[in-house]
Amino acid sequence: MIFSSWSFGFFFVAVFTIYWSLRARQARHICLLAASYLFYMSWNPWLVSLIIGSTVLDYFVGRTLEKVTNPRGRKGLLALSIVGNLGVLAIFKYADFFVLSFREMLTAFGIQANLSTLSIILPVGISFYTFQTMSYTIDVYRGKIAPTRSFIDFALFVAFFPQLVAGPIVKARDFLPQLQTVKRFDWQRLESGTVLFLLGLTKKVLIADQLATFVDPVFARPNWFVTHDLWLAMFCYGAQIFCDFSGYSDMAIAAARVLGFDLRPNFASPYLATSLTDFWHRWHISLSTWLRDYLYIPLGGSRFGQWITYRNLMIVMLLGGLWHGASWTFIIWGAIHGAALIVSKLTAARDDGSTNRSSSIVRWTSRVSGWGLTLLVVHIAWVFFRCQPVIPDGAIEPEPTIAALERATYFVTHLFVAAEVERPVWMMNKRPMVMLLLLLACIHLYEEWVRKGRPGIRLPAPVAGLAYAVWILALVFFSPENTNPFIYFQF
Amino acid sequence: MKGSRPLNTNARRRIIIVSTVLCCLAAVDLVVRQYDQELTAFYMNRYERKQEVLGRLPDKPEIILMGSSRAKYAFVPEEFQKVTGLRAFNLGVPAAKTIEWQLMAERCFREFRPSLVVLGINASAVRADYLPLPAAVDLFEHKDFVRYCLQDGWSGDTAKHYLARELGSAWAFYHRRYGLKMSLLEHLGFLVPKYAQKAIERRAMVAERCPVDGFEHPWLKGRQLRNLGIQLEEDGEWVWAPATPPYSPDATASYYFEQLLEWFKRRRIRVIVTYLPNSPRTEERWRAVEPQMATMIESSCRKCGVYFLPYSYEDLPRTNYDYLGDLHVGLPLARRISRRIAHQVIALGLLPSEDESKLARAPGVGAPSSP
Repeated sequence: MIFSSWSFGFFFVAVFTIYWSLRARQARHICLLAASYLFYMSWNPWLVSLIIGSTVLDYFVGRTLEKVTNPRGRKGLLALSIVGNLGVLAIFKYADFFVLSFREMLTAFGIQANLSTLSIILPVGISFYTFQTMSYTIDVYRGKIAPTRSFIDFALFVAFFPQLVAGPIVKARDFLPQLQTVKRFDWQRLESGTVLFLLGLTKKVLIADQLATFVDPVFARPNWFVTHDLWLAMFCYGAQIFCDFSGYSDMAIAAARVLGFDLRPNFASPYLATSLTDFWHRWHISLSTWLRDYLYIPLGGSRFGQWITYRNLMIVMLLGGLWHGASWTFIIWGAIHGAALIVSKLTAARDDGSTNRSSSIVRWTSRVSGWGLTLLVVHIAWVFFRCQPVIPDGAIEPEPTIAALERATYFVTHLFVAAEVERPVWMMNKRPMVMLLLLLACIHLYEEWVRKGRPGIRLPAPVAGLAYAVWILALVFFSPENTNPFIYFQF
Repeated sequence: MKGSRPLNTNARRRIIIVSTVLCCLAAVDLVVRQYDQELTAFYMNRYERKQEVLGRLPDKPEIILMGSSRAKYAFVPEEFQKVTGLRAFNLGVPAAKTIEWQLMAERCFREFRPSLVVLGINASAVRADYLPLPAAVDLFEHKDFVRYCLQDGWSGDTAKHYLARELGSAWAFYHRRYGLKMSLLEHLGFLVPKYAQKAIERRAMVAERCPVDGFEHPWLKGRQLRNLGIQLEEDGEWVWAPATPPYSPDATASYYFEQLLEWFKRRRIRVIVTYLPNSPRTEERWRAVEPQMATMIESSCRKCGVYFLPYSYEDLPRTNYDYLGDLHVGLPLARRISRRIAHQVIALGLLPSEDESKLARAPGVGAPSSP
């Protein structure tokens, strides 16, 4: 049941009606919890047991941490939670990856090992809710929050359906206090939530799904396409993944808002970033802040000198890459970002102070070049992110990682070296893709405008009504026949 | 929308916005309904098309050839008629699978009962990911909708398309999106001549009258003459290839297939199932799953006491040059297949004049477990 499907529409209307017709706070929470489990079970009824297991573990660890004062005992409890959560993640998400990698390594040394994979189904959203529950236990351990006494509230925090399968990753200290207040239905929230949901749907259906029709064939066989097609496909993929993921986040935030909950924004016009550090303050904010709070800072952050900082950055980015998926191409994607962040820090350290003293033209040029360079690095890294090992037609296991890497390397090389192809693919109409990129640029600039606190567009009511009608009809008219799943569901 | 504004201003604004949106959607919907006939002129795979022709025939055919687009191209009624002396009608419809076949059979055989139904099948008909698709939903009546919801459980796809159809040609409910797009392209010839031409051609193709025996093959009309072999020679890996269908021994489609065979049995309509293979190229690509799926089909037939004719590779040798594309046979091979099946049908004594006792003695074909 994905947000852009009709089934979700029916489901949400039902939940919305029941939820607001209940008066007691606890009854509403039970209603939302039941809806959340039902939502998850629409993919796989059995895998909800993993969420329940994780919830039970962290709830009891949290409650016990409150009672235990002995530091060793507290550490033991924290370790239990981390090992339990990461253990499940390791089995369900990474076991096959390690087996396949080990087998590929042995094959490279000429040893034919008959290691079979577990072929376990990847539970949707496992990385998201695992990080969420872990953050709760760590915060309780650090004394930043008091453990919740209500199991229902905690279970709802873990499984809240708007953000369950693809984030934003919510922190307990942001969400649990919201469960303590009695919510009243608010028309303004409904209105702003509906508009935000429409915006998210537009990004997903109108831009991301349409771009996919061009991006998918190019990334599947880059050797069929000429250089300018590769450039276009690379930027189209950047736009696709942004619209897909931020569209999902917008819809999640909107759905939560309509139900009376506030989730923090997950994106802030990331392609307007003027440096890579700035990019990570704007892209998947909930993940980057999670990694900062629970990994980068515990590793020492930037407190122990330059080289330790660089090491920490690289570790965080590599693990961030691995968080996205069990594949070497994700790790390479993380490594590219890590390396680029280090270079960016190095150059920033050298330029420190000099830019502030320079003229506005120099500052402006520096910002524009920074923006261009960031955009280029981010998009080149996206090529590795997108070129995943695919399962060949009729096969059971994915192709070797090296095949995906070759594709990515070919792609990146031929961005700069003219690609020679047997024949150009003339049937692809690229004009709509360019139009969609321009549309995205407009949305980006508008979002940045609003984010900076400037007033949004307020049209007269009949004109606004007409604009909404045109918007809805455009969504209906241009949406593809089949609803594509969100890219981030696989993570 | 700030809180400082009086509430009634906000409320009034909301009411105006919502009413304008609803009025606009209703207006568009009304306009689209007005042009419904015009917009359906672009829809190729209309199930009703062949049913209408069949319904209008004063003398109903004795043999009905059913199946998907594979059957549409592979069964030549003329050849059946030559061999058996009985009239045949090709009811093969693209995108049709087990559920669509059952629904079509229920509609078509209300009024008359054919002497024999030849059902052309392929592995893809029992693919594991099959659910009633938009095409099938076009055939749904209320009871069908309830029946498939009870059988499949909730299917957003089914409900969506059923709802869309029930609500009529409502634009806001997707139903005529394709027609609208094509119509727009057709009228924008000065801007996008290539696409406008495509729309015009599509309209012309849909407007073509369905022949009285239901058989339509592009080679008969001199279209798409480049066979698969030539395409592969000239374009190599550029030639589109269908993805391997997912296989599962518990595929729901297999259950539907058995239901269909049972339905024929209850209606006392004789049926024979015959396997229609893909091109050698696709057969090679589907090697991991196709034999198992064919076995699954055969065992379903046995279970229901229906004859299953596997494809006879010795008698009907074939190459990629005999195929229109990866899934559809060219005309000469279609004629050979049709003749072969017709002869086997006679040998099995499945036609009315034949003696029932021959059923058990027919050589060279899979025997049913319970005749």
